[in-house]
Order: sequence, then C-alpha cells, then structure tokens
Amino acid sequence: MDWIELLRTGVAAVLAFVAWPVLVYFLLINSSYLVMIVLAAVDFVAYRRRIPFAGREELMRSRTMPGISVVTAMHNEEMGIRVAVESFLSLQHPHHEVVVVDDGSSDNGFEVLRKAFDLVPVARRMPEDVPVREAPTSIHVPRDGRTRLTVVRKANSGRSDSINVGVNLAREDLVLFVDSDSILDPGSLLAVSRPFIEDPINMVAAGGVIRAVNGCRVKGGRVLEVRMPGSPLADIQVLEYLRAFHLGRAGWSRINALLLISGAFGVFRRDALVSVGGLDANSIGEDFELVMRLHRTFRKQRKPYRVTFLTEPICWTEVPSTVPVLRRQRSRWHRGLWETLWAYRGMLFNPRYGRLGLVAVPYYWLFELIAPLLELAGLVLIALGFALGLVSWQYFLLFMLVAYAYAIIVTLAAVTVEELSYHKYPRWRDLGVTLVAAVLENAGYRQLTAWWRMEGWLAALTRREQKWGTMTRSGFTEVDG
Amino acid sequence: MATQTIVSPQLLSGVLWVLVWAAIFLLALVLGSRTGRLWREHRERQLLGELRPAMLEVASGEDDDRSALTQLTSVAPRRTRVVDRAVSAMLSKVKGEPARALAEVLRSHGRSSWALRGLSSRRAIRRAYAAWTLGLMRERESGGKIVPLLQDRSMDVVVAAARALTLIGDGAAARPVVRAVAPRRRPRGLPSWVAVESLCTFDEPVAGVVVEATTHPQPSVRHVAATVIGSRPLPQAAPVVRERIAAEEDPRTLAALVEALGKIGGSSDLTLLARFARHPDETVALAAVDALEAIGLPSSVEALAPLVADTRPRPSERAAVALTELGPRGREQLREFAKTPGPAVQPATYALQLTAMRSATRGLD
Repeated sequence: MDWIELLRTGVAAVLAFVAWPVLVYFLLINSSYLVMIVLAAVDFVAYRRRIPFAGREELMRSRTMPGISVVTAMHNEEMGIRVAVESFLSLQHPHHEVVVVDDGSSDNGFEVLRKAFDLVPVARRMPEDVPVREAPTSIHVPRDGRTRLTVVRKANSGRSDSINVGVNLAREDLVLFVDSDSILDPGSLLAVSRPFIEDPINMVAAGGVIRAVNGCRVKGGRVLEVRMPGSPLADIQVLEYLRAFHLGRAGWSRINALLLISGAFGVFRRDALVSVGGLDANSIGEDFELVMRLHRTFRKQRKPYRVTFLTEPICWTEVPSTVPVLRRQRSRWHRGLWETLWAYRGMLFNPRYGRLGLVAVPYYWLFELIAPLLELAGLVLIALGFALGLVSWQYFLLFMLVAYAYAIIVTLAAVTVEELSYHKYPRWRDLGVTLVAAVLENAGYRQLTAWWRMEGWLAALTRREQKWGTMTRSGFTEVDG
Repeated sequence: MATQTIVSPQLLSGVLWVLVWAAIFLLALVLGSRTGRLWREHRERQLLGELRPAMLEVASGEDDDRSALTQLTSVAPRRTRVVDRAVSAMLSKVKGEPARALAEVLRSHGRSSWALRGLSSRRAIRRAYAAWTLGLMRERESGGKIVPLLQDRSMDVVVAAARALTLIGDGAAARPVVRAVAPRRRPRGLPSWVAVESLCTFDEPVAGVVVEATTHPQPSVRHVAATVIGSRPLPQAAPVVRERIAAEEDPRTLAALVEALGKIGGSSDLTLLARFARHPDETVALAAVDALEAIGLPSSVEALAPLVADTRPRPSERAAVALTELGPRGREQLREFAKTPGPAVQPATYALQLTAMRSATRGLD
C-alpha cells in the first residue's frame, strides 16, 4: 500500500537523521549518571574513612551548634501526626524546636495534637518576614510552657504557604523543612547542622538523603530495621532514590553545583530564606525553585555562599505504591522542573553563575527535562522501524539490549557504591531484590515514568490547572514490643 | 526496501559484551564486598570476644589490680589490630586515668612509633590516622610534629590534626590552628567548630592569639575568634570586642561579637548592646537581646524594656521573654506593658503567659 511505503520512507529518513544524535544522547546521559556516581563514591569513601576522627559524638555538646526549627505542614494527617511530632521532638539536638502548621485540615489532626501535648492557645504575633497568603488563626503551645512545640492553625493554602508560616514563626537560626509523614533518624538534626558549624559564614542551605520507608520495620517513629519494600513498584523507586537523589546530588554537591534540595528534608539558614522571600506558594517546583532563587539572589548580590548535600543524614519517606499516585507525582515533578527551568532560563549558559550556569543548569535542561521526550521518541522510532521491516528483529533486540544494558550498569554501579559505603540493607534477600529491580526497572517502569513526565510537561505548556491529588499512604510496618 | 542498521551490529555486539562483563564485575564486587565485610565482622567479634570485659574494665577505671590492662597489653599479635581499633574508639570518649591506661595498651602494641612514622606518609588517610592516634594517646611531646599537618593539602588530615591537638591540649598550637581556618593554599579551611573547640580546650593562655584573630581579614577567622571569646570565655578580650563591634562588617561575625560581649561584658556595655538590639540585621539584633539577658544585671531590665515595643516581632518577643528571666522587676515591667495599649502589649502578654504556664508546671513538680 502506498501510505505504508510513504510511512516506511518517512521513518527511514527520520531514523537516518536522528539515530546517531539519539544514540550519543543516551550514551551521554548514562555516562553523566556514571560520572556522578563515581564522584559521589569518592565522597562516600572519604566520609567512611574519616568517621573515627570526625567527632560526631562531640557535635552534641559543641559550643557552636546553632538552634534548629523543624517545620512541618500537616493536612488531614490525623493518623500519624502524633507519632511524627513525638519523634521530631525526641531527635538528638541540644537546641531544637518543632513547628507544626495545620494547613486547614478537615480531620481531627489538630485535636489529636491538642490532647497528646495538652496544647493551649497563646497570644503570639507572627512576624511577616516571609509573605504568606493565609495568616494563622491561632497559635498553640503545650501547657507546660517548656516543650518546644508550636502548633499553628490556619486556613488551607497549600504546603508552601504553610511552610512559610512556619518559617515566620521559627525562632532558631536554622530551619528544617520536613514532611510530617517522614521519619528522621535520631542523629539527623546534628548531622544536618554540621555544615553550618563548619562554615557558619557562608553555608546557607543543605539537603539530606531521602530513602524509601516502605517495607522497613518502624516503631514509634523510628526505623528499626531497613528492608526493601517487597512490591516491584516501590523496589524500583528505592533504586531510583539511591541513584538519582542520593548519589546524583552528592555528585553535584562535590562539584559545588547543587541545584536541588528536596523539600521533604532540607535545612536552610533562616535569614537566607527570609532574604529570598521563602518558598514561592505559586510554584509547583517549590524546593527546586527555592534553591534556584537562592543561587540567583546570592550570585546577583555577589555574596559568598554555599549550598551542600549531606550523604549521611537519613530521612525516610513513603514512596508511592500505586500506579495512579506515582503517575501524579512524576507528572507534577516534571511540570515543576519545566516551570522552574523556564522561569530561570536567564541562568542557562550564563557565565555569571559559574558552574551552575555553565554545567548544572544546561545539564538539567538537556538531561532531566528533555530526557523523557528523547527516550520515548527513540523507542517509538525503533519500534516503528521494526514494525515496518526497516530493522530486523535481531537488530531490534540487540539495539534494545545495548541501550538498556548501559542503564542497568549505571544502576548496578549505584548499588555497588551503596554496598561499599552505607550498606543500609543488611538482608541477602534485599540485595537480591535490589539486583532484580535494577533489571526490571527497564522493562516498562522506565518507559511509563517517561510518559508521565511528558504528561506533566504538556500540562504545563497547555497551562492546565495543577491538581495535587491525594498521596494515598499505606502506612509503615509497625512492629510490636 | 532493505533493513536499516543505525550502528553496525558488530559494534553493538561488542558493546553488549563489554557491558555484560562490566555487569558481572559489578555483581562480583557487590557480592564479594558483602561477604568480605560479614566475614571481617565475624572475625573481629571472635577475636575481641573474651577481651571486651577487660576493655570495659580499663575504660571505666575499675581495673585496680591492673590485671585487665595486662591482659590487653599481652594479646597475641593477630589480635592487636582489632584490639587497637576498639581501644581507639573508646579513647575518644574517656579522660583521665582510664585514658592513660588505654593509651598504654596502644603504646604496648607499638602504635606510638607506627603513628610517628605515619605523620610523613604519602597517603593522606595514613597521615590523618597517625595524627589522630597520637592525639588519642595524649602524647604531648608529639604536638610539635602534628602542628605542620594543620597546613596539609588534605582536609581530612587537617581536621584529624586539629582534633588530635585538642585532645593533647597544648596551647602552643593555638596560632597554627587559627592560621588553618583561612589557609593560603586551600580554598577551604579548618571547619569553624573544630577550631573553636580546640581554642576553647587548649590549657595554656590563648587570649593573645584569639584577640589578634579578631582583626584577621577573613570573616571566618574573626567569627572563630569572637565565638571563642564568648565560649571560653576570655574576659580580658572585652576592650577589643567593644572596639571590633564598631568596625565589624560581616553580620554573622558581628552577631558573634555581640553575643560574646554579653558573656564577658558588664553594666557599662548595656547601652552599646541596647543600640545593637535595634540593628537592622535581625541576627545581630537578636544576639544583642540575648547578650543583654546574659549580662543579667538588674540594670539589664531598663535596657531590655524599650525593646519589647520593637515593631519587629522576633526581637520584641525575645526581649519580653528575656525580661521574664530577669526576676520580679522584669516581670513587673511586662505586666505594665500588658496593661498599656501599644506595640508591647502582645509580646508582653505572650511572655507572661509562658511564665505563668512554666510556674504552674513547677508547682505541679
């Protein structure tokens, strides 16, 4: 038939034109991941070696340890909020407070806190250092007047606005953003404060490691035993977190070009946050946008500053365990990525921003933003080529094997670094699951997430309204005794 | 139409083989690493097993007849490595006689000479461990040999050296420690907190060096100096602090100086501190409010009271809470504010609420 012949000709022409650029792109993207992993590995090895003389025990009684305000927003989190606040209050730190902002919950979350901590309203005035949409309707503290907890009630205005309210009410020098459904390791506050006492003049922000809590054994807001989730969807995300969030960011930090600190666990100097106006409540890429704004502001003002990533502190968070929730999350993330990169396009290839403008921002455009588009386009083309008889099935298979084998190698490298450094998953079974997930990731998951990311990008380009949806939590595996 | 080949199949096959071998290598590395680690842990547990009670006895200072110490100093050579590692881990946590006894264990195993040789090793990690081991053993005579490592090219070595010198406590290292905070050859210096801990721990007078550091061109060094003056504390540095406060440009260093003045200053500084409590930079203003409270004199009440009416909520709230800590006069002043309409009403009411809640709990106690 004519139209098939026409299609064959067209596909053949496109294949001939884009095949090499796409191949080079895949080579570059995976190699860049590999480079990041190697850079992170160097850091990890150094970190492990210096543990004996690094003085971790001394941090607790260090004379220079700044206070830290743990700020968290809650919205309809009645089930887990008490345990979360108790665990935040019991974190190791000589001087920390917890600020919980109830973002217009319609459940009994506030009542749970009121009863658990015997909260009473106080006549406290909120500073307006950072602009907010919804001011507090009431501020509460425990009746003993000593427990360093503040619970703020306000009308629903979203997470970013709620965090900004928390920033305004924070009393300490440092502010830690953490999701109320996340679990922090007992020493995480001390560890995350460390860069700020190492370089108190220049350090303005630090991000920490986030790992998946699914499958772990949890008791009273503490992770007792680290395990793999056991569901393929979550298992693969464990690897993603390890490769991209842990090793990737450690690598960027090593070359002083860290662009992203996760909103689920990031610590900022309060005065720096105030100077840039806090989180942008209109931005979907809230945490990414904030760090970009910090970079832009400090660079423009020619002030020396540092943003770093800590490989050590651990924040545990539940990753999506169902396809619809994962889809919404990835779509939202990519939309946030696009909107932020577009808003800060002036930084692209701008020598004024040093490595950020010349390396990190172009990398994010080229390898984070465009990656799903090219991956899907490449797949469609090669599949079309195969379907139209332009490439033989042997060649098709060989091509796919090579393309994904490199991706598997990158993931295996990340697993190797994890095993050589932190080896958080002690069970042999979990190691097996990790290795299987490294392969399975490429058979469907990767392609689906690429598609969902494209959906997010498209939604941003067509200015569709962002719906956050509900993150359905399946809860932690609580152990008895 | 003939089938297309984007890249030659031979090249693809070659690449695939390379990738497969790389995957096998990584798998072997993962499995080998885990097996090796588990085996080492098992062996260490075995080797240390019966010696652990002796170690704990020495570390807790309960080894009166020195039998535990003798047991540890006379272990078989194959055990010395694991024993030394465990003893080193304990040494960083103990002081006094137990520390001396544990150091004797290391010395009996030749760790002292091993460490001295290691100070000039080509491997950074070896130099770092060598310095740290000498520090753990509190070998005062080795201090002079560790000091040059403060200018080492490796940050790990610099940190290990500074922390070793802190354990040794020789004040002669104060100047090199200050110099290490802002080295000429490296982009980053000795972490601020390590320098502060060293300068606060050294047993010999360090005031001269610290005071001199308050005029260093690098704010990181000036910040360390200001923190040490307040933390150690060094009352003799008060005149210099007053002088520096007027000239300091870096807000965080200025805040540290203001805070230090609160700890070493007196009634004559209240006016100056009250002025800084109105500083446009809130970090400085809050430090000044804290300093006014830290001075803790009855006249601090007069200096703090006007600050409760500050239009900025944080300094005003901090000033109000500080007044509650300054006794009945402070609280009386707050009650006055709470009754009189104006910007001081809310912070005063809040501070009084907190005090009432705390007093009620104290009553329950």
